[in-house]
Amino acid sequence: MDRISELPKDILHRILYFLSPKQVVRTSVLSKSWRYDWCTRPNLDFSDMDFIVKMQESVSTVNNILQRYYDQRLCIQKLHRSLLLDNNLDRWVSLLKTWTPLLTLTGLKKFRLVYFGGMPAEVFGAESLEDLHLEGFTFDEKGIERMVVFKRLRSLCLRHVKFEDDVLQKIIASCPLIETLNVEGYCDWEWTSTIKLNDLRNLKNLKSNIFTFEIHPPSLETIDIRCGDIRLHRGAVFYNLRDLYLARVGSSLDHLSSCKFPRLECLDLYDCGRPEEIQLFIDAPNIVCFKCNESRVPSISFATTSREWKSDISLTPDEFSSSWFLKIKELLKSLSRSKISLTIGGFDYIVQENINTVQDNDCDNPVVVECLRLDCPYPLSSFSYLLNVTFGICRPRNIGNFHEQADAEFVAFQWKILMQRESENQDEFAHLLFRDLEDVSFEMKERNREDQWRPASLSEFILNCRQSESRFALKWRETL
Amino acid sequence: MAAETGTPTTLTLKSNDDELFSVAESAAILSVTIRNMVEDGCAGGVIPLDNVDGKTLASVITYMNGISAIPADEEKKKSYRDKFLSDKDFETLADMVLAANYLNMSCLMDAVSAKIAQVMEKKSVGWVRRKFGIENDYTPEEEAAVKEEHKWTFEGVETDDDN
Repeated sequence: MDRISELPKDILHRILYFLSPKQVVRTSVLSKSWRYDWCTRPNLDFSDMDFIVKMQESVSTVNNILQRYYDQRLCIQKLHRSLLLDNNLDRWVSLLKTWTPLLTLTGLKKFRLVYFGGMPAEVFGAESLEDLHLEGFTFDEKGIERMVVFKRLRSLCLRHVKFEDDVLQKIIASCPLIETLNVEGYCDWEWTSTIKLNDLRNLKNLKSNIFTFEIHPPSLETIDIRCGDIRLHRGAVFYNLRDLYLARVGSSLDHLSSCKFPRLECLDLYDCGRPEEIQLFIDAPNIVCFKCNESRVPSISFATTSREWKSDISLTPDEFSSSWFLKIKELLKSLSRSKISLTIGGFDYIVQENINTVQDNDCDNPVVVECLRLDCPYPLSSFSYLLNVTFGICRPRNIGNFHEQADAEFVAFQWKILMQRESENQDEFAHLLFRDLEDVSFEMKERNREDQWRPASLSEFILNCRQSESRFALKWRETL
Repeated sequence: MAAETGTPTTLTLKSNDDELFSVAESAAILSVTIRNMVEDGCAGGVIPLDNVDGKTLASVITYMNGISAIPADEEKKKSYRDKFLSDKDFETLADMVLAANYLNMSCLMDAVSAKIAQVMEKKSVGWVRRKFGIENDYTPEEEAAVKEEHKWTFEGVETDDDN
């Protein structure tokens, strides 16, 4: 026999594992020994749309495949099935009813079902499951009654699964060892109850965009909550939490200030500053990266012993005013021990009178910002004012990075102001703007490469703006 | 142990055709089989690998050294694996996949399996038979029947190109 056909079956299955569903079926024509190899590989994947549509023409084909696994006592480790676009729904449901208990006996570990309709209760009897991923189901009480305790379940994902408020709490109670919980729904669903996760001793990863969660487990490593809500115990210590991502969380974040995060590396806040402004104190000795994308300027300080950490601050104000910029200054000061990137954008019409009064009137050293990015303002002529007010609150080392073709015109405009120091008002204003600026150079490098930045000319960038990124490097006079 | 003395421990591996190879322990323990032997204290002298020939073992060791020199960056590791396998013919790949299986090196096993699958992807049945020397033992009637059963998979473009 030839080399490939005589490979041990488990190796051959491994190779077939990497083939597309269509190609894998075609291997049955190669020779007699290949006739059934494809349909006993350990990942049964009915997810490919082409494959589903063709296979669904005969429920019996799938039935035969499953029969073959069962007869040979082969273990399907992963069963992935999408039953969208289905016109044989009843037959599929009955197929699932028949096969789920049998597959469980052979040790089905991962089960992923994507479909829209009622959930066959049998799925909740599959005790061997380690990983259950359900999408697009409606739960009914019957399903819950049949539910066994999933002693092995480590990962549960419910996407767009509809159920009554208290059902999730019941499901969670049946999965004592769960490590990863992912509940995603449509944002317009309304939930009233608070889901308590306090008993999940192994919960490591939590991701959701609905629900209010009461979180306590010190086992948590990642939390990713969007649109939902969280409640933390006052004074809780999150011994293992490394990533905390909160987006549009409805409740006040005040209680974070009383918690301790000894291993937190990444804190990411996205649009959490409504209705209350964020005022936070974060006890995170090992912080590596703080990201924040807000419209109101948050007030945040860190207690940390971290030597090298970075802050990535992105602010899109509702309206510009001097006080808004002064708040940024306060924020930058409290983050001044980190490497700061600051992006200010989303400008509506800028009324110059509102912003050009920020005076550098305190004696502190201005905060150094590693990289500043200002979105293109409207009208463009207000850019020099914007720059002025920004230089009033920080000392950027670089302005950039520009890497889109749309940036080219804006870069050319900035070039005029920064390199040629041209300003519409050749008066005291320009003097103020560049008072402490010693030198500006224009630099370029190839995009997405870790190359060194090198000096370049504007025309060089405009010619190559599709493949390159550019920035202005600023050198400031030592003051004070 | 090596860490205490400051010099890296070297293991000696012996292929089934009696070639000897020196390899740093830190690289060799990518193989779970070898790692278990080291942990059980059986690695003092020469480690015999009865199912791997010298040519294949040399190749596997190149891989072990290459991949363990790359820091924890999955992208870079993947591109190293792609490059490492890019010039290997099927005979070599078949030897490698058997060796990876025996040495219990799942990352190499998956990379080689995926590479072989990639060769078969989007190719006609005839091309795959020729490429891998698979003898067609169906009668024409039988073959037609199997094809008919999975008719839809034969729709669309096939290519017989070598790339």
